Amino acid sequence: MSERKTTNIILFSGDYDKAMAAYIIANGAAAYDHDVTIFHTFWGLNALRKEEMVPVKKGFMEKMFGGMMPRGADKLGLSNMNFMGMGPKMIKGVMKKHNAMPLPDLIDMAREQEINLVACTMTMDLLGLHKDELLEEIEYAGVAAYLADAENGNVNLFI
Amino acid sequence: MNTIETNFVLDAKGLACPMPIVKTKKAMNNLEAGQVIEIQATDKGSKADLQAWAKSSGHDYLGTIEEGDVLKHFVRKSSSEEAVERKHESVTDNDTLAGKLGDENVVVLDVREKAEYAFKHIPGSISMPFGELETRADELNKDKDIYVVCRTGNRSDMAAQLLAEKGFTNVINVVPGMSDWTGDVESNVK
Repeated sequence: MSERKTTNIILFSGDYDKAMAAYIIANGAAAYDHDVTIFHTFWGLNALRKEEMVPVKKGFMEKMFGGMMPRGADKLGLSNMNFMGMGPKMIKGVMKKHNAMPLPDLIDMAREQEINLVACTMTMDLLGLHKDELLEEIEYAGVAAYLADAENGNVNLFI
Repeated sequence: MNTIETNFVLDAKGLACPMPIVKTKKAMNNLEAGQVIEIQATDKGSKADLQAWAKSSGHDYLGTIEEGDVLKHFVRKSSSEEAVERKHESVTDNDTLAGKLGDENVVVLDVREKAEYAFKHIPGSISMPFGELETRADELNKDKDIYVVCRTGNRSDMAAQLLAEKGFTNVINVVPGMSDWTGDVESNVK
């Protein structure tokens, strides 16, 4: 057996549809026996947020950001046709009809398939997100860690 | 309608991409090398997906049967058969066998799995998967020349040895076999 291939995805966007695409590709790549890493940065970090409110000490700006950004994968909006939150409700109905997996389930599946979920610590600071607010058992890293994975990677995506 | 005997049937009906592949991969981990899995899916993209996936992961995609909305895909788990040393002495190649088809003294014995046989086999050949040979060898006529085929020539080598042990004298292993067969073929499925 040859050396395992790797897939590295940067999830920059915090849109439900874009995150879904990222996680579908990641799960597919894991089935291809790739070592898969999703590197969450900027708005992509919101996909990793816990749904519940986590009490952490924050400054004023951090609180503002924390309050305005969606809390968790299920709360993300659409990149197109969001219609103040109606869009996501509609698309979730359509997805149910077609048996497509909702984003939170895709994330669970990704964890089950041992996909590395990485949060970018620099942007966490910028957006005022604390580790306690993100899902358990994810990794924390910076650009060097991403590059180390990506320079020998076979598939590299920025979503 | 055709049913093809397999070692495992995976129900992925109603599931959307990427689930059929993800489930197949999981099911494959529980199979032994050489075993055949049937994947039932309704996702229209699953055929192209499974073909590509099987190719990339070294498994042998056998074919797909469409029954209404359901796609039944057949994949054989890769085995290490490419590496073994062949021991049966009497060996011939595909072309020689092709020239002998129609001779009434010639029997073509296909020792691949039933699903492999179903999708593509030499017309008139007898299907007897290697695992069944031990118990079913008596069905064969010892007076005929038995040409044993499989996909690459390894399972047929083991089968030829087994038949020789059982007292068959005119047993010839065909190398490589179906993977490189260019002659006529027959299929039990549409």
